[in-house]
Amino acid sequence: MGLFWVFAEMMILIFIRQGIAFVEEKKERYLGLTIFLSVIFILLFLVSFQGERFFSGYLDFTRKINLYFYQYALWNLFCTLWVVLEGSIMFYSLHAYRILEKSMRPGRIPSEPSGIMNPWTRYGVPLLVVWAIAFFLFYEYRVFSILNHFGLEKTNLKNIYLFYIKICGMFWFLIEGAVAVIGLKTYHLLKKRSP
Amino acid sequence: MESIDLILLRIGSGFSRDIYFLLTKIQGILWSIANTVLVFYFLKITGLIRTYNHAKQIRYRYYFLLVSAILSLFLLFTENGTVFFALEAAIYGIQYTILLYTLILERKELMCYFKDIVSVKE
Repeated sequence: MGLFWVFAEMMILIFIRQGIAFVEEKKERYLGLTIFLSVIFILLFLVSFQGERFFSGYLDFTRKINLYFYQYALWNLFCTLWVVLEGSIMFYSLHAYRILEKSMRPGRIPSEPSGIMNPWTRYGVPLLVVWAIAFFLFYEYRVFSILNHFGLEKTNLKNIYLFYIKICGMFWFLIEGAVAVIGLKTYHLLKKRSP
Repeated sequence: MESIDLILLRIGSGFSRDIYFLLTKIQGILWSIANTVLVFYFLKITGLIRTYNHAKQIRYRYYFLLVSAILSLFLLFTENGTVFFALEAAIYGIQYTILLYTLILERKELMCYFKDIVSVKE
């Protein structure tokens, strides 16, 4: 199910990028983005099903706590990816909405030249991607370091990971709420135009 | 770094499964509401475009969305994490399938409609 959600969000992200390019009459097909996301998905698929075998060369899985560390870290990676993908979709949805709003209410938004991303999307997406991945790596690094220094119990390790999921959960709700509001506003904007 | 480690250690000993489950329930219900609204308005936008193109209105996707919204109510009454996750997987599975299906099926109509608006006004 985790893989399906990642797949669905990757598809939505590609569609929305292609959609914006089409509306703005750009020639881009986002082949690079499609290949990049496909590679990420294949790697994720391999790690999900063959990861334990691969990482057993780096982590001693005969120590049960290391195996738990790996399994929780993998799930947290999924959670981080959902934040990154959903967040990117949110920023691009915002951009699509602003294109529409600019076209339908020309006076309301200071006009940006067509084809230029608004600053929220232009800086928001890379900032989100870098911040989320850096936070994930930092969290895992610190947990691994604590694990080696203090010898955590499974319950303590699990609690630390559950807390991480809750941090991601807060972002999922905020992001989905924002996309829902963008959807609502887009609908009302289009409804005024329809006969 | 030591202060961060201390915070993590405190979380490890103090963030209980009960707190986690309570927060998960609250978040799960909020996500479901947000996601249901999101899919609903996406279908409404697609419906507007179908009206514009004199095509048949969407019906079954709304039924599936309704099923997922009804399932969301059961999140309130779940007693353990496994049932909660299974229920959430079903709810989001349905909602993402609706989104993806609509995007794949009606992508061209959606894009052409938006392009019409943008190019006419420009």
